[in-house]
Amino acid sequence: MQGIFMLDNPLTMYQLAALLLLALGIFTMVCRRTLVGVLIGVELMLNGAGLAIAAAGQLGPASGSLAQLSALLVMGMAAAEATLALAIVLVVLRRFGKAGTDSVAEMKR
Amino acid sequence: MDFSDPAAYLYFFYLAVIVAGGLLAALSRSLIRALAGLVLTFFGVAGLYILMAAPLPALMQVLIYVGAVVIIIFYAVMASQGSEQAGGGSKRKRYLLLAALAGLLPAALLAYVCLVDAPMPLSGDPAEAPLEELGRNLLNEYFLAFELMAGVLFVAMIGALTLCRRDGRGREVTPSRSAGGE
Repeated sequence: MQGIFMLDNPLTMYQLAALLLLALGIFTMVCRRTLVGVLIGVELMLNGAGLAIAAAGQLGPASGSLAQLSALLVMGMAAAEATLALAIVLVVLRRFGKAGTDSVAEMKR
Repeated sequence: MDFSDPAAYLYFFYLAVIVAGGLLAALSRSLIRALAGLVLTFFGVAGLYILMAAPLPALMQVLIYVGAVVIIIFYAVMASQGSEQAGGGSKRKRYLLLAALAGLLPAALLAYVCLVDAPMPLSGDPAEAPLEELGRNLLNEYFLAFELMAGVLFVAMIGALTLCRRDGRGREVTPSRSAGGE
């Protein structure tokens, strides 16, 4: 497979793409009003993290296989986190009737 | 910028896919549409993985994120209401502006570091690591991380089951209630 050389440093291009995912993720997290929307933002950010790690290994001086495996571990983390978040959404729905971020803002009802 | 290389066009195509999907995920009022945008973003990132000669993470991206994580979030959307209520006009606009600021500020700071302070040297063409090497590394050098990941997934599954447990009469079991609290 051919490598790409569009700027002087393709690693920077990939890192900028990862940072774009980070910005979109934080934006989604802050502006959403439901717990599921916040979860979507977290997934976007985790995706950016995996992309940055894999790019650092494939295009930089670090070990390529280590970077690819680390990206796989990030994906595993994302799966575990999504499972727990689904359970938390279900518990919040059962106790408060809706899964909005405002409904769980108080510590005690 | 070298536009004789078709990979450059592909890079910007995937970047456009990521931006379009991300904006749909962030701004769509219906959560189902937001999830469709999330799927689009995941496919764009998978394309970037292939572009950097890493086909295994690209396949896993489609398999784990699109195949598992998005389905789990679909379940959460189905359990809760499918969309967010419309907010007030000018207040909502200010809120969006502040959210964009919150997202762009740390990203811009890190981008500054990437562009100016730490330009990392390039090792040449990205080499595709063979699958055998990846598997051998996973079971030799990085065995601890592999096993810890398995443990994390197991604990997450047990935790999710415990959180959603109900007792024999169909009531939810919470720590405070079973300890005689409330």
